[in-house]
Amino acid sequence: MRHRDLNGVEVVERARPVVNREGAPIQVMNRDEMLRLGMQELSEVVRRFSGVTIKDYGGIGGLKTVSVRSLGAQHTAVSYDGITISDAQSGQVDISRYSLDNVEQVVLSIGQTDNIFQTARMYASAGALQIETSRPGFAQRNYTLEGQVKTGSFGYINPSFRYGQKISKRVSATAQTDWMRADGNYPFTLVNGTLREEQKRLNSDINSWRGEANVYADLHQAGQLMFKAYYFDSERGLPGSVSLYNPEARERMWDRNFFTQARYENNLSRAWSVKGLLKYNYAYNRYQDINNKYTGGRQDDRYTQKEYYGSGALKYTPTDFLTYSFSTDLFVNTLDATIPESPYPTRYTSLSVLAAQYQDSRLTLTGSLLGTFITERVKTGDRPADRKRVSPALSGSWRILEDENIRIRASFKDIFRVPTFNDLYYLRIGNTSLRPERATQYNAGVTWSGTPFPFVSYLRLSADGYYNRVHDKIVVLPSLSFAKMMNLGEVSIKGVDINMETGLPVSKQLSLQLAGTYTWQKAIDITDPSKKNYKHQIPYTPEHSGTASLTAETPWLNIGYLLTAVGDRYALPQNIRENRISGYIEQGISANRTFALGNTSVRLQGEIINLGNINYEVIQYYPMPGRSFRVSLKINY
Amino acid sequence: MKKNEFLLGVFLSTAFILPFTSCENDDEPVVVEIPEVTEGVYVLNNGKYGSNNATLSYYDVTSKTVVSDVFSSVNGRKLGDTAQDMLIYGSKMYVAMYGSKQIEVMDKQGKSLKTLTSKNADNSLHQPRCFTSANGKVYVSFFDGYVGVIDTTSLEIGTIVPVGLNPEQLTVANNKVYVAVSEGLNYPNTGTKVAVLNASTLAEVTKIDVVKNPINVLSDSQGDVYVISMGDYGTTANNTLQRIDKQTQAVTTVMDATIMTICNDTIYAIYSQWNQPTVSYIKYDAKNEKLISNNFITDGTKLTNGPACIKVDPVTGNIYIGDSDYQTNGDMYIFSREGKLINKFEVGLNPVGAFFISNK
Repeated sequence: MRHRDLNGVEVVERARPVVNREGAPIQVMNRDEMLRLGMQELSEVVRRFSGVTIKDYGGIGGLKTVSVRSLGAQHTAVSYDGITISDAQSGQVDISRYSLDNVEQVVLSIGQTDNIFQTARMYASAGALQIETSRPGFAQRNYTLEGQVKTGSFGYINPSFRYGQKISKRVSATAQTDWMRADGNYPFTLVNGTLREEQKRLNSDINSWRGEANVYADLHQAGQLMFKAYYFDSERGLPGSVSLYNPEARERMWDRNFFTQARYENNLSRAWSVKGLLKYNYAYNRYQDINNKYTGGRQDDRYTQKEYYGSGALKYTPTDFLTYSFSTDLFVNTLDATIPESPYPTRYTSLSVLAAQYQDSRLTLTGSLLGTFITERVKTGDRPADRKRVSPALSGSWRILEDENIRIRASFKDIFRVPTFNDLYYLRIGNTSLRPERATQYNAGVTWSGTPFPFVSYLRLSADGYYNRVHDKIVVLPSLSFAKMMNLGEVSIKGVDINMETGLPVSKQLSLQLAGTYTWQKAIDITDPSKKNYKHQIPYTPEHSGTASLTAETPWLNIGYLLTAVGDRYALPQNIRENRISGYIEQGISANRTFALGNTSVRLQGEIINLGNINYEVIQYYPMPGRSFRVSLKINY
Repeated sequence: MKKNEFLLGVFLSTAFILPFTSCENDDEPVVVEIPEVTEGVYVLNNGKYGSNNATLSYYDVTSKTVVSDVFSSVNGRKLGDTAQDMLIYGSKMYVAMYGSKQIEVMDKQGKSLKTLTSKNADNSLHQPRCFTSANGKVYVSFFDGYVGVIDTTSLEIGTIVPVGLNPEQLTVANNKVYVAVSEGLNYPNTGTKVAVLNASTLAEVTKIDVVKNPINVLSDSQGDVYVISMGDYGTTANNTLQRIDKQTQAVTTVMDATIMTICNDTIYAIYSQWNQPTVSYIKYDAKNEKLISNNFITDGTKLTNGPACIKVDPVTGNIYIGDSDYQTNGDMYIFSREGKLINKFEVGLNPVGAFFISNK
């Protein structure tokens, strides 16, 4: 009998998690949706999720950090293709650094995801933002080329180039680079009592470039291998907060980040799978402030961080319904700093997770136990005590009706974050006796998906109520002489997240997608009844916030409209009028069209950001730019 | 008609009375002593650096009511960023806005008369820090390393001289200006000098060695100058109060103290270093150089958070101590000169001192 070799089918799209099925809330945005809505920045994607707050310091190069359910940015892990991006010094990740150009999918999970075959580190946070990049597809020829130019208001220009090459039947590689610069000196209206002044943001420029290379090897029975190298280099001006009357902004910041990671996965048999990861990370940061109040007329601090990371995971699926996994991570973090009395710490962390899952068509139950051991060494001064902790997580989701896709879910997670190097060692403020900050999360919710009406192609709804408690919150405690970091907070967080998505295929020429999110959060300080901010909403946490988006696809033009509404917040712990930052509504509109010219495809996109031209503030006295535009041209061959 | 009759009656009665009164006091005119009374208290609230939320609170002593943010309501605009110090001198009030890099000159109702700025050679602005006054002049220290003089009539900043980095408080004694040169931003290598300048020309006379990180400076009526240095917050040197002798200019250590004020030659100080479990409220006789009390609060009152500032009303002798947790609005506690709590009122964020308005 003759046999024929079938051509292999290349699966280039990532498996999308089944959002409604998971035991803990999970939100996904894939490349199609990002393109439909004209999104260019990672922060724009994250804003569309419920249950997150972004601290945005404004401008194109401004710092942007993510906090899940008011727990703080240090409790949110950010991962890039499976490996956590870390900053042991500040504990938070600046998401403005990562380009969306090659991103396939962004997943936000709150609590613990149902995907138990992960690194131990992905279990070690209250929430995780996972960025997954796209793999090249070689349908027409052995190589792909992509060139793109973006430009926009305030002197923004961003050319990029991406090249993919199929090296053999089993091996392919990509390389990409982009350069970005912007002046950032946008105008804004400063309101001061009865005075209104037109001013310009100063010292707001950014100049950065990024390079990334990946090698993918499919070794069939021997597994899959992936290598990545990434480099990021930037210089930017820090505009600082708007200072009334005589603003002078002369702070500058340089960042250089290099990392390389390798990932190996193998489905050894039907029941056994193994995964291994290795990563080396180097991060250099330089902060400079030119001011005559410093010795030598300037402050010039330099920080170098290194991380060595290794992880191994094993998955065992004895039956169709049961899965067990064991992962263990080992990593070392170091910090060299030029500030006085810097102790040159080295932190050794060992994480191990044992997880189990039962899953059938109606019920999913997942449980995990994370064991943490951290020890630290310093060259001078006191060193903190070793940390040992066992953290459990439990979640379940149940499809209550057999024929209707309606599920209820409940989850619990007890997790913590260790003090950052800044918390422990920063000049004078640092405190090596700090304990870890703990967070307990409880969530219960209901999800539903289906096609209730004939004119709707899909409708997904989810509603979750949650309660979080933060214990031993690490805060700065000022006093008459100076300030010190202390475990001094207790926060109670109650909230509701509602998500809705629907697709309306109106006709052959027109297809609509509508989505909305709403978050209600009551995050109050319950540390000390004698304090004036007892039971007041914690800073920068709006009680109400939400988004609404509408996209329309036609053969001639695709249009996306996005509205973000954020309620009042307070800049300082006391909820008084003087500390209140007004709520705002920000709207954006984008249009795009893709043309085919022979073997090449050309995509043109234009967006208007902040249609209402409001200089709203996310952080007090860091006004956001008013109405501005962006235009991009992409050519694929 | 009736009015004319009444007026005639008054005229006639005074015509009879006046001759008798004028007989008694032929030589001197009648001088009526109007007692000096404290009408109100301004509290300067520092705010948070970078948050543009410095304010002035006003406490009416008679009605015991507080008006918060007087400056905004009077002037229609905010005071600015980080108010560091205030001086009431003559008919004007001066506020050093360290964050906004200017000096606000107001009348006693809080109406802004003029805003003073001054530039360096490289066009950057000087950063006003603390005030003192003497002989019709107002002296101001600038955190970027200078001391200047303000002409109180023209409201111009005149001579400015370099003194060393991060000068803090200053005082005038013995025809000289004594300035604490902290070099505080160079921690842990903070400064160890008090600069001494000629009060008329601001020419440097000498530099006196003190414990490192000097911040507070004041003088008594005899010409002794007192300095509090932060030390290194207790590692090798505590917050220390020292005296510079008026004649020899020799420095003697007096005791541990963190902040202080002086009123009628009595120093009121608070010792509240980071690692201290209890706070000391010190009363020290500066004339006779001896300690009066280590705890002048006599009725057991405890501040909710911790002392942030201390000032004494020169008319009543009442002691005004600010209480703050540095994150929420502070409170001002008023103690009598015997150390008993009289009243407490809410002020703004980070109070740095109470400044007194009297009827004179």
